[in-house]
This record gives sequence, structure tokens and C-alpha cells, in this order.
Amino acid sequence: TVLHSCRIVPALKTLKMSTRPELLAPPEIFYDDSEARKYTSSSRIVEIQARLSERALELLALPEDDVPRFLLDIGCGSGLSGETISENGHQWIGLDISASMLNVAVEREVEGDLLLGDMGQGLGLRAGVIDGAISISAVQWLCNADKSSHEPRLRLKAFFGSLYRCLSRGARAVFQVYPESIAQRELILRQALQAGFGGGLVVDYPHSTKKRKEFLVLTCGSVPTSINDGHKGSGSEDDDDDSEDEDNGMVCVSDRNRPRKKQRTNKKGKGREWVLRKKEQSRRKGNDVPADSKYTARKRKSRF
Amino acid sequence: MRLITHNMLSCNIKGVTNGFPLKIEAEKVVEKEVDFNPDFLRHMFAKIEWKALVEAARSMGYAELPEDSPDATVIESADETFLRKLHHALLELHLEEGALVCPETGRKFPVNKGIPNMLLHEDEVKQTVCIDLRKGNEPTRIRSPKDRVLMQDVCIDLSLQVP
Repeated sequence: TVLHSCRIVPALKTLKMSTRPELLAPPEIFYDDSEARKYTSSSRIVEIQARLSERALELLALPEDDVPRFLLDIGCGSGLSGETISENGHQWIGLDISASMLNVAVEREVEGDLLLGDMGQGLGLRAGVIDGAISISAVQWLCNADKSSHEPRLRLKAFFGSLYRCLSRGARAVFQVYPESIAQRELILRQALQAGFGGGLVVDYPHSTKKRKEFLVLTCGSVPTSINDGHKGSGSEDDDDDSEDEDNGMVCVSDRNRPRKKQRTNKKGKGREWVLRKKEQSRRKGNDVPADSKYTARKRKSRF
Repeated sequence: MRLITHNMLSCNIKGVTNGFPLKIEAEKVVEKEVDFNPDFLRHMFAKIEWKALVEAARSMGYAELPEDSPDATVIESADETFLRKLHHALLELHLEEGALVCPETGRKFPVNKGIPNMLLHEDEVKQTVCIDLRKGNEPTRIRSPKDRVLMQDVCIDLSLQVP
């Protein structure tokens, strides 16, 4: 049974802002009318979504022959990512579970067709019809059980199974996710591989906590020649945290927080000028400072 | 919802063997102009189920499409009359209000503001039950909605189809 939203959600929203939305309420309740409007009118979110969608489309590695493709936008919400798809000239179908978000999309007159549906129930599309699928910040919702009858693993299985079926051969699916933990990311990846997908994880800006973005790139049918296919521009780093085992398509995801041996940081160090400046400052203050000579700030042997 | 999407939708209900195509009950149809792109139409032509498209177009009030699927020569030719008709049927007809009906069970999926509601009820979803051999054959389930804990993959995966 679905929770009734009116009394519960306001109480939940008084929780700290740092709580992830998927821990507060199921998506169709969290994204009610006011939240949907807030989400879509926030310029920061619009900008982020546009950037993420552009990157996801890049990673889809669609052939550059100017032929529009037929794509699927999973968790399309209010159509922010869908608009990016339209701008790139492709046709798309959008799927979302929140009616409020879809209503906002209708108001914004998006060009793609919208479906109100639950991805964990299976996609309900015919075999081999979709040329590519993207999903921006939506798949992590599948990992939570929102109803008593839900079992996240089975929902993930239904989702990936139906997605594999409806993608045409050689097509890719790119998911931008914010996984809560390593375990969650591994769960998603494992279910995808069990469904028959190949592929791995692409991480942009892996060393920056703010800018770090993860994209799960899955391929249907043929083994990818290179996950770096979609790399354009000099800013982002494609870091493949996977190694494909050819026997059963297992992909290992390395733990980024693995403790490393403490290395001596090879800092440039502060030059002679800086040292002289500091000594001058200290002299002005009236301290007793040794005189400057040719030995001042000379590079010492590493053992010092 | 346009016919290009309808041609891809299939009924997902548990137990249904052939849920395609969904019958259209049209209450309100709107025509919206879309840029003509012959490359896209040629690309999509191989994926379209022709009979279903003709039937659906007819139920939306457009009967210009030929009954039989045309062969490749017509598509590849420079003559755009057929492609124009296909374009109109596929991309320019919108079902705004109405319903989609499953051919096997008769279940109706309502269409409002152009959005079909494809949400399945609890009993219509294909359930597979995972047996946890450690606990002695009790299916593992989340007991309450408050239990938003990530299910760890501890069971041995033996999925049975529950009829």
C-alpha cells in the first residue's frame, strides 16, 4: 500500500538536508507537486541535469551520421534530461513514476513521449527497438524497498532484464548514479551483468568530492572496444575501475577509499625568495634573525 | 502519446504471453506538427510492426496507410509521398485522452494528458521469490515500508516463478 503523503512528508522534510531523498520517501511521494516545481525551477539543478545529460549522451557513443535515434530516458522526471536529448536531434520516450513530475514535463511541452510507470516492474517494451538508454540520478531509487511487497534485488532484475531485451544489438545504456555506498554500486553492477550486459563504470573527476560523477555504461550484445569512446574535451578523466574477465563477464569495482601507503609528498617547497621575505618580516618585527648569506634556503640533502 | 511509442509498448502483466499490440480507445486525438526527417523514418522502419501501426492509426482516425507493409524499394526511393504518410502517422498524431487495452486480459491503461498510466497493481507484477537456504526456505521479504535498508546479496540465487 502506498503511504499517504499529506501528513508524512512535511514531517520527513524537517530532517537534515543532507539526507538522501530516497531515504525519505518513495519517489512518487517525495516528488509531489511542490517538490516537482521546486526541482524544475532551481536553475542550479537545471544546469547540473543539462551537463549530466550531455555527458551521458556522449558516453552513449551513437554513430555520428546525423540520423536521429530512438532513445529511452529512464526516470525522466520533468523532462530536463529529455530536453537535452531533443536538442541533440533524437527522439525519445521518457518513463517516470511520479505523476507530478510528468505533469511539469507536459507543461514544458517536451518533445518526447512520456509514460507513467515503475521501472522496477519491467519496462514493457518490445524486443530490440531502443537505440540507447540514459538515466540521470534515477536508478538508485530501485535499491530501496518502498513497499512491503518490494524486494530490491528482484526489481533490479526485472528492470535490467527488460532493458536488455528492448535494446537493439550494440546499443548502450548509460546511467548517472549517486550510489549510497560501495555495496549499492556493486549490487546494481552485479544485477546488470547477470542480465547479460557488459560494461563498467566511468568516473569523471575522481579525486574531487564535489565534482565527482559516476556513470554506469552498459553495452548490449557486443563487447565494447573501449569505454573511452565517448571521451571529448580535456577536462574530465575517464577512469575505468574495472577489468573484464572474459569468461563470465565479471567486473571488479575497486574501492576508491583503499588505504594507501603514506607517501612523502613531493611538494615544490618554498623557494629562496619566500624565505628571504619571511626573514625580512621577522626582522621588522624585531626578532633576532641570522644574516642572509649564500647558504640561505639552499637545498639540503633529503635526509633533513 | 504518439504512435511510434504505441508501436513499442507491450503489456507487462504477469501471465500474459502476447501483450502486443495494445488496442487503442481514442477519446481525444490531437495533431502536432513535427519536422520531417526521412533518415529517421528509414532507420525506424525496420523496427515497426506494420499491422499494428495500421490498426492503431485507423483507431486514431487516419486511414491513409497501405494495408501491406511496403518493401524496401519504396522506402529507399526518392519519392517521399509514402514517407510523408508514415511521418504523419508515426510522429504527428497524439493520443491525448483515452485508454490502451491489453489484448489478452482486457485490462485498461488510461491515458490522461497524453501520458499513459502503465503502473501495474501488486498482483499483476511478475513475482519471483528468492529462497534463502540459510534460513530454511523462508522467502526473504522486507516487512515494512520503514525498512528502507538495502538488501544485501546474502541468499543463494534460486529464483522460482510464482504462478
